[in-house]
Amino acid sequence: MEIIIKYMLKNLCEKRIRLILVVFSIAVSSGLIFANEGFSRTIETMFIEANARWGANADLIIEVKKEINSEKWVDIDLETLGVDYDYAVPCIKMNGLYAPNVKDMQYLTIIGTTIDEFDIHNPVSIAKGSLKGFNRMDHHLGQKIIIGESFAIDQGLKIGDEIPIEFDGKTYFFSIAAISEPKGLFRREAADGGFGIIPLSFFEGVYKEKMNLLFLKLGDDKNVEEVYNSLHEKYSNYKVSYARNHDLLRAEINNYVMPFRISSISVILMSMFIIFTAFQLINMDRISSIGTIRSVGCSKKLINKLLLIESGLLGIIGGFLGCLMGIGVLRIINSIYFSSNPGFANPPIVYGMMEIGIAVFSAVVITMGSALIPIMKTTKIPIRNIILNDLSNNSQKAKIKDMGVLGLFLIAGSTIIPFFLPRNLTGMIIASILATGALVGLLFIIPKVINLMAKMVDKIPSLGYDISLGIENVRYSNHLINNSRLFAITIGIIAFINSIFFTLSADMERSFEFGSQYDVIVRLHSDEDEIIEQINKIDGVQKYSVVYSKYNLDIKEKNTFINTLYGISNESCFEYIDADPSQALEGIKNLHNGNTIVLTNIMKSKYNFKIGDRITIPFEGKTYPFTISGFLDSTLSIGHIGFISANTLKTNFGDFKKSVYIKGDKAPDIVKNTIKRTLMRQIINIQTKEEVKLANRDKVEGIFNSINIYANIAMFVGMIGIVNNIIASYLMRKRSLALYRCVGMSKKQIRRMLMTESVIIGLVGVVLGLAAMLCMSPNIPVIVSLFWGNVPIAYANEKYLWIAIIGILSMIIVSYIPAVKSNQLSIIESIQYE
Amino acid sequence: MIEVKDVSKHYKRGETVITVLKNINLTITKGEFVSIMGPSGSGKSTLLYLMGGLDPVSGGKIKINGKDMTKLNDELESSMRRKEIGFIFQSYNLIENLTVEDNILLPVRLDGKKRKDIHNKLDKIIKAVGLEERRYHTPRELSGGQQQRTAIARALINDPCVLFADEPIGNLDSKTGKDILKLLQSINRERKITIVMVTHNLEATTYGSRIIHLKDGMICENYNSVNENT
Repeated sequence: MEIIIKYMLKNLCEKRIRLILVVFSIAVSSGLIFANEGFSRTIETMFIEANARWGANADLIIEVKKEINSEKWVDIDLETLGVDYDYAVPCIKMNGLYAPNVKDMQYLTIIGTTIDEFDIHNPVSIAKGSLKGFNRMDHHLGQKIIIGESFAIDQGLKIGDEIPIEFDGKTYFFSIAAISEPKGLFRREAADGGFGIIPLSFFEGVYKEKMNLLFLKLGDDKNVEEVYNSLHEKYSNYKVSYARNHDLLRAEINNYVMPFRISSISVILMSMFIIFTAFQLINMDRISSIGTIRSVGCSKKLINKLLLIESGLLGIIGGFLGCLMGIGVLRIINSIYFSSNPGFANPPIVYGMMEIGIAVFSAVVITMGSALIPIMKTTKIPIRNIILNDLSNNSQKAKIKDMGVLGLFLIAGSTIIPFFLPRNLTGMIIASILATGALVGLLFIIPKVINLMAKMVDKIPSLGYDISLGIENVRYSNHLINNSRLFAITIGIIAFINSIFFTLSADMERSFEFGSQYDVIVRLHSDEDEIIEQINKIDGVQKYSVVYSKYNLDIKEKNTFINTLYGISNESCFEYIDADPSQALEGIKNLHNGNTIVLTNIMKSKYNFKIGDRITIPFEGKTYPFTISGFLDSTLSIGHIGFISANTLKTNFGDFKKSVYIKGDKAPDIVKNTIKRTLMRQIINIQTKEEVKLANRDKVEGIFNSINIYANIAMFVGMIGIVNNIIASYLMRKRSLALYRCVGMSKKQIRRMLMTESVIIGLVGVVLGLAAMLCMSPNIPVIVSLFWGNVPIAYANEKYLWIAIIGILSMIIVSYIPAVKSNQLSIIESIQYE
Repeated sequence: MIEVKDVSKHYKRGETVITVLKNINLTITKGEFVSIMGPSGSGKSTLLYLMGGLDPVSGGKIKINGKDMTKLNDELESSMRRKEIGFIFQSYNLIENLTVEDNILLPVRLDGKKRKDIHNKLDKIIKAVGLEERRYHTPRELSGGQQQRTAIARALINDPCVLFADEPIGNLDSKTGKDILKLLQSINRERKITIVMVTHNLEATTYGSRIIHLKDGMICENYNSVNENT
């Protein structure tokens, strides 16, 4: 036993190149799994941090309500709070207008606080300046302020600069004491609209009040629900809320990580195929030794066991190496993903023992699983055949011939069945299986296609014999057929991922171009009639509609959430929102009854909602029941949106957002500037459609860029597999290449033969890979329907052309490896090599 | 016809230089059937490969039909192997995925000739080696003797002036071995093709006209064969 183990390991180490390729393939798979898990955790951490940028370490927040006639200040004596707390940080939060000129005019959220207390609740990371003496007024410098890095860069501000901020019509000047890194409160300041921290004493002096906001960290956070309920009851005149919404967070993280998981499945499948072929080669390489060991009495079972243990060991080595590679991949994904998402600046990558454990464990499982069939196949060969070197595989060829029909069925199934699939989770799973099935079908039909092609090419009269031999080699060599398969799968996967990307991008483009017919969108402080009327009179405004919205509400029955709940005052609102009202005309009419809601078809598919179902939306301790009156198509906010009447939203859901959508009869920029000049301080935010489109595209492209990385990794993994197979097939064919040389084939003819093989593999791979993508594409609308809604397939023709060109060129470049090696071939050594 | 002058061959194995052949001088005239004998490691196969241009010499010159094999570039050397030299090996060395007919045609097709141009010649050769029934079979469907006959037919298809045979009967039973030797002898006699054969088998040398003994990389004996088979 000891001798056999020693022999096996020694033998494995002797096949250095192949060993490196196997370990590398395992490492790539494990690296991807590691990167996926790491990215998922990084995203989770980022979202938790982003989500906690306001609530930070607190458990509960008490603040004033925003409704008209509600209290303006929080008047709570902390001594009588009756709660065991770690800290209670009282603050005054105000909207301050920073208006050095009309162009740069913007509202900042200004927090008045005692910095030492605030620092415990939500630490401020200082990039420049200092917090020394922050709470005291400096007679030379006046009042101090901390601003964020993004705002400072945007406005060209530096430490010591004095900035004007207007509160309730009166302007005060603040000297910049410190500039914060994009962490804590300032993590997403570009997306949030900007923050400033000033001493609480300033607001106390101006307003003679103590607080309108209180952050509370409980002594024992297990009681948080109990304390929330008691405070909610005790202080019903204030808004008491949880600092974080864990369910919403989990749902958002899943939505962001899902595309990565879908993409990585295909790459792992490819890695499995590479490991499978590599093991097949290693085992074929040492088959004579296995025969010898078996001939001296070693059982099949023992050899199977030893080879499996060996693959497991390789899995562990590859798994750990993969983690090192994964850190690199994670860094790349992170930098690309977050480069287009200004809200998440400089994200650190997050990983730990859990990610390493999952990656190594998966590597072992993938390797042992992939190695199992080659191992069983090797030990199944009778000893007599091994000793007589009779390893012909006629029965397998016959099996593959029969599999061609199965391959065609799988591809046809992938093309036809999606048209009959429901747009729900079951449909999505079946569509994913069908798409994978088409790739498996491709494996079966490739030998048949190559056979057919070889017969056709053979009939071309003026073809050189070296070229004919190249075609014949592809036809008969298992390694070269495997190369064609791997290449076709790689091309198919890359084209498929690109098709998904292009379909979604095209839908986004359509959504902005045709889905919403506004030119400018304005958010106002007030929705008073006279201000709205003022908009109507502005030069350039043709028509407008007011839409009310409320973010992040839960649906109690399904443990899910509504990203945006729209309050609709009349049907004309749908001219400005990318949602198709024609599918729910009755339902929209019924909205005025007050307790009905229209949801999206995405939510209908995901949660099996039906018209007439009742849902409950909890808000600030109360619950609001709604009856579903219709469903419509919309991909806004990942399809998690709902429509109720404007009155119901305004009455029940305080602190809602008011947006005025404006259709102009002049250029959008002119209309925007005219509105800005006219309404000045009434505006919170104003953007043209083009600006909104750009902001949203950036966000979506962040995700797609990362998915594209997976497509590129798929290409990379595929090419590694192909190089692996090409080198392996060269090593296996060294003897036959030497034979060709013996009968007078020149080096040039050998090179041409090898080049022909590569071109054939490239052509078959590109043509069949793209054909498979076309056959798989009916699955795209079903797969994306859950997170995007109903979209028509869009084909990225230009991209496919590039994939084809790069694919064939890559194959030709890769073929240089054996071509160069064949130049140095020693005929005698190779003939004697058996 | 074949001139071997001061030929030596060294291999490097790590730091050690192994001398396989030392200053070999030899002349083989047209139509001779020369058997090279010697113990394992004496350098007989190496000498054969050097003469056929399959391995470069470390020193000296080898001329075949006046052409210095040590000076030819790859194109000319390959062309020599297609047209003027034929090889037969102990392990037949056929291309597995090609039929008997395609294996035989390999040097001709590589030389740019079409199958139809040499159809008659192919038929004759296949008949001469007795493989009419097996012409569309692949090597794995043939017996050892049939495979060696295919290799001989392949070596003859371009009418070479010299045939190099490395242990051609080493893998065959004695009866098949004798058949192959008789075939080689008839080729030598009828077609006047020079044959240089490496063998361990003393009986095999009786089919040839001359025997060269190699020992430790040097020719120790060189004499004409006198036997009933000649």
